[in-house]
Amino acid sequence: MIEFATLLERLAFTPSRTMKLALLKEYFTMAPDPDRGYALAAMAGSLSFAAAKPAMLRALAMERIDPELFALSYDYVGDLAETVALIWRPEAGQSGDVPAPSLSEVVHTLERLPKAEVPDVIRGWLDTCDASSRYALLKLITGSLRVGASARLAKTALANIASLSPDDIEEVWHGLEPPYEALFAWIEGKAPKPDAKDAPVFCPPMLAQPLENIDLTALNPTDWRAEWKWDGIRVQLVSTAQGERVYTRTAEDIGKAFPDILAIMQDLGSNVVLDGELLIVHGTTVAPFADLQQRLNRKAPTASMLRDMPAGIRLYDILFEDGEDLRSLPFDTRRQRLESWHARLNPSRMILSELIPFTHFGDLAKLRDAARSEGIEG
Amino acid sequence: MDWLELKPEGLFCAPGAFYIDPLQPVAHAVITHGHSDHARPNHAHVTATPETLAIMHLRMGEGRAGHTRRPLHYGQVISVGDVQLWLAPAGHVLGSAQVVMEYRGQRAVVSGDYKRTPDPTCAPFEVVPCDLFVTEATFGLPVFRLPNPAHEIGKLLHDVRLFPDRTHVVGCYALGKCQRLIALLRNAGYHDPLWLHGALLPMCRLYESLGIPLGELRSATVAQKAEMRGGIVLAPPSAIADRWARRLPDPVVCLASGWMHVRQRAKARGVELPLVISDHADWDALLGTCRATGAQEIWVTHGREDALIYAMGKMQLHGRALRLIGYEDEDEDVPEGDPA
Ligand SMILES: [Zn+2]
Ligand SMILES: [Zn+2]
Repeated sequence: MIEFATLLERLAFTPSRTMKLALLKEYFTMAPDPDRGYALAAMAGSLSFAAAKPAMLRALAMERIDPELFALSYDYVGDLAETVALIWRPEAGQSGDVPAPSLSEVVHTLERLPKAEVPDVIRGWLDTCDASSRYALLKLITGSLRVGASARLAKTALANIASLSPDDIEEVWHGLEPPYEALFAWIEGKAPKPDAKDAPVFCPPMLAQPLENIDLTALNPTDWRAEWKWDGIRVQLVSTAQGERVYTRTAEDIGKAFPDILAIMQDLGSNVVLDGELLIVHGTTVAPFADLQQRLNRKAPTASMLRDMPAGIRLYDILFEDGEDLRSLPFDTRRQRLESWHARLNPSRMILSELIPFTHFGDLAKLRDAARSEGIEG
Repeated sequence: MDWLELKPEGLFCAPGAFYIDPLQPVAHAVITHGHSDHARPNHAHVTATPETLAIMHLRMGEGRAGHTRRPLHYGQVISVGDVQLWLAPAGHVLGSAQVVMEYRGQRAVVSGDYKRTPDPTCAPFEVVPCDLFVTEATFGLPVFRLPNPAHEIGKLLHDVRLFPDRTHVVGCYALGKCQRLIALLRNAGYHDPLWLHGALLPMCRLYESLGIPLGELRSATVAQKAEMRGGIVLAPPSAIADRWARRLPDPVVCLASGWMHVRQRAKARGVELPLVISDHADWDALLGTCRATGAQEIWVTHGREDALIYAMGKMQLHGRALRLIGYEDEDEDVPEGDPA
């Protein structure tokens, strides 16, 4: 717990991305399994417990401190977990004799701790921890742990250790579970790349490039394909024998917010990874982005939202089909595969994104300007 | 205790006709230590330890540090009027003293600022049994149970090793904190030259001349930028977030202060590496010291009196808040040069 708490504290005060990366690299290199895996889970936002409520923290503190002194202290510090962490006085003879719990010990214990035993266990931990570990522990058990590093940054740090790219980590990530021992073994060259064949994992996509930012004279129009960019969000649909997922471009799993899309994929029963634009669609009309925003803002949609703002997909690309990796194929070949997949299965609420014929890049610029005045996003 | 009274000028010992750390110029001032909220200029006569007199002389210049001066070594007893007066070490900064007064069989001790943690740059605090103890309360809340300074120095040195291309600039108060930080670094085995902001150097030189070795110190102001890369630079707290610090090669902003114990305080100062190092007694030390003096009456000068006086009440001690306007903690956000 102490190493993890030290890392958290340092990350919380460091604005610099480079320093955060160095701190993460150091931690991932020095900390043992499975502790570092749970720390990684904390950064990915998948380590959260609701073992204790603020009232319980307060009650524990009152066992050791006068209520008046606690109130004066809380007024000054302003944060309950921090006040308790700083004010806690270990029972005489406790500190130093028994080592502080490791992060994994805390995680494993909390996973199957009967509610009635929570206060006793936490009191024991507080007695063996130092102030900064007590703070991390209290934030963890109340489900309010904030880590000053994003999942993407943590993955970048891991990639740096093994001279990989963050996308290499991303590719296997969703097939893995905390404490990610297979991932660390691979990073450290002790095991092969984790096999994510059957898991619905995220595959880093090709991104659209705005025309304005590219030196068009250096490109040959016949090498390029143009499609409309819709006013939705770019998503990756992953469907395997193990389940269906909807990922954003940054590999965030937003499936829970779009059960209508998951249901369509489940009905298809096709083992496939698709790239497309998530939109709210009424018949053939695309609803304004604000409607999609409402759906995105909810963890799970209400019945009326599902009825009034149904989601749909404009398909751009197919990356995997029946376990076959299509990503190294030329785009036109993939497009043919996408078209034939679409014709074969005829999925509801999924429409192919239209290819725009052009001979000169100038044609596209004209089309784009016309479209902007008609209200399609550029 | 009716022979110690609070006057507009400060705490007055009537049978000895002297003030302790007065806020305005007086005829006779007994000064606990050189911080500028305790040692103010232009008193007619000043009694203090030789080190405190030297510090006052350096900070105020000839003439302003008392027209006449009486150096008093720790433990040396003198009579002032009807009062027996002597000074005992307070462990706060070099030369810092508690003022001990005896009159008609009663003893009063004014601690000034003090700490109980060992400090290689000054004599350790001495408990003087007394009837009335006047304490500070800078960290008078139970959340201030401060860590071992060696641990904090370890944090700094670890960071210096982890980021060898960056320059760690540590904010520290010019009198006491700066020299203690240097001594702690040396004790931890760090013997590289330390780079010092111009405002810190004269006091370090004075400490060295008074027998506190500080190792190799160099001026950061005249140094080439590249020389300081990977090193440790010490500067006044007001300079670390300033243009001055930004000209250093890739600075990491650190601050050594007891206030760094609370996250909000560290965040508000824009500190990247907070170092919890204080020259004041923490909560446990405040209560422990008040108890150890055996005093039945405790007066609280500056800081958070309410919690401390409440806690004393629970210990059957009589506490009283002396609201002396003008005393501050030297680590508070006071611009350098102002009374702090
Ligand atoms: Zn002071
Ligand atoms: Zn003071």
